[in-house]
Amino acid sequence: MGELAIAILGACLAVTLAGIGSAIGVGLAGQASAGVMSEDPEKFGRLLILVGLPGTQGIYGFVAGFLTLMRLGLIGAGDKVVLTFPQAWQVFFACIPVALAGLVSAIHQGKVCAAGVEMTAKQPADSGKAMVMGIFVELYAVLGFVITFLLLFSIQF
Amino acid sequence: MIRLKSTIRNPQSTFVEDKRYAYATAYIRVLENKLLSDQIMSQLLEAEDEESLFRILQGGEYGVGSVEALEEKCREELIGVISLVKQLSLEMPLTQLLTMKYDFYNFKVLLKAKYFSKDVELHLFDCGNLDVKEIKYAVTEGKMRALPEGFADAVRKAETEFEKTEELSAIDVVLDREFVNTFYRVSSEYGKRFFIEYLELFADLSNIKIFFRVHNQGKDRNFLERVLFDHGSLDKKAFFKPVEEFASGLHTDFSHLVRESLDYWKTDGTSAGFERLADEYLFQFLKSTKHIVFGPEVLFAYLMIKENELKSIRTIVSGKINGVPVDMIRERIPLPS
Repeated sequence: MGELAIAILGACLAVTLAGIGSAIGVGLAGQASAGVMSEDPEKFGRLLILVGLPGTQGIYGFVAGFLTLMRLGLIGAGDKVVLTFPQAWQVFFACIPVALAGLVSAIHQGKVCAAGVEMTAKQPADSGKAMVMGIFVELYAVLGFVITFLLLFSIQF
Repeated sequence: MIRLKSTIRNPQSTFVEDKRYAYATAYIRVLENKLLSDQIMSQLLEAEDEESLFRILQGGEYGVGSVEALEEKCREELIGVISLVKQLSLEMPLTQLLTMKYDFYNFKVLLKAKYFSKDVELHLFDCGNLDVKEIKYAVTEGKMRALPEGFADAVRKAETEFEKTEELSAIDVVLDREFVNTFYRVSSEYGKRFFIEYLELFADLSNIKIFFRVHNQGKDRNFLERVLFDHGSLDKKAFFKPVEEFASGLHTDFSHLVRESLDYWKTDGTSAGFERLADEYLFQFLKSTKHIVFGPEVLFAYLMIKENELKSIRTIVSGKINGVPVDMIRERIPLPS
C-alpha cells in the first residue's frame, strides 16, 4: 500500500503544482486584463488568449496526473498494478518534470502575458507579438510534460 | 566641484515589481494612450485664433467652446484623475504621496484667506487626503489639534513666519518646504526607492530654479538659505557661489541643463530657460515608469504627467487669447515626451 501512495503522491504533485502555477499566472494576466477592459472593453478579444495562455500548465499537470492513474490501473478497464518500491519511486519522479516546470513557467508566463496585456493596451496592433513572447515561456512547460509522458510510459510494471 | 551625495538616478534598476498593482498599472496604461500628444500641443501653439484652438481640442476630452468652460473642464479632469489614482492606490503612504500636494495647496489658500478675510471656497481642491471642511475649521478657528501630525506643525510654522515677516510669500515658502519634508518622510517610511529619488531630484532642480530666481532678484544669502529645500543631493553651500562658478562646478547627471540655460539666463535675465529644461528632465524621470509591469510608481507618474497636460493646455489657451508670443508660451510648456 505504501508503494501505491508514493506513486499517487507523484500524480498529485503534477496536478497541484502545475495547477498552482497556472492559477497564479492566469490571476496576474487576468488582473491586468481587467484593468485594461475597465477603460477599454473592446479589447476583450485581443486579451483573451493572453489571459488563457498561463492556464495550459494546469492542463498539462492534469493530463499527466490522469495518465499516471491510468498506468497504475486506478481508472479505466485494466487491473490495478501491484508496484514494487523502486517502481513506485520511478512513477513519483516521472511526475516531477511537469510539476516543477509547470509551476515555475506558469508564474513567469503570467508576468509575460500581463506585460503583453499592457503592451496591447498601448499598441493594440502588437498583441500578436505579445502572444509570441508568452509562447516562448510555454515551450518549457511542454518540454516538462513530454519528459513526464515518456518516463511514465517507459516504466515496466 | 559639486557632486551628488549618492549616485542614484537610475530608476530602472530600483523598480521592484508589486503584483498587487497589476490591475491599476494596466488601467493607467490605457489612460496614458489618451494623453495629448506633442503634435496636438504644437498645433495648439500654432493655432491662429481662438476658434482654431477650440477646434483642435474638439473630439478629445477637452471639447468645450469657451475659456471659462475649459477652465472648469480642466478642474473637473484633475479632480477626476486624483480620485481615480486614490481609488487605485492600495496603501495609505501611496495615497498620501499622491495627494499631499493638494492638501498643502489648500493650507496655503486657507491661510492667505484667513489673513485677508476672503471667501476662498471656490479655490479649494476637495481631492486631497484631508477633508477640506476639517482643515478649513482647523485653520480658520486655530484648532490645530484636529490636523494630523506634521500638518499642524507646518501650518503653525507658516503662521509664525508670516507674522514675523508680514510677507504673503512667506506662507508659500514655509509650506513648500514643509511639503518637501513631509513627502520625504512619507516616502522614506513607504520604502519605495522611486519616490525618494523623485523627491531628491525635485528638490535639486527646484533649488537650482530658486538659485537663478534669487540671483535675478538680487536677494541676499540669508533669503536664499531660508527658501532652499532640504533633501536634495546637492550640497547647499554650492548655491552661495556666483552663477557661472556654480554652473562650471556642477558635476551631476543634470549639470548640462544648467550650462545649456546659462546663455539664456545671461541674455534674457530670467530662469525660464532652465525651468523648462528642468521640468522636462523631471518628466523624463517619471516616464521611466514605462518599464514597470506592476507597481504604484505608475500611478504617481501618470498623475504628474496628466497634471502637466492640464497646466499646459490652460497656459497655451490663456496665452494665445491674451496675445502672448508663441515662443514665450513654448518656454513655459515642458513636453514630457
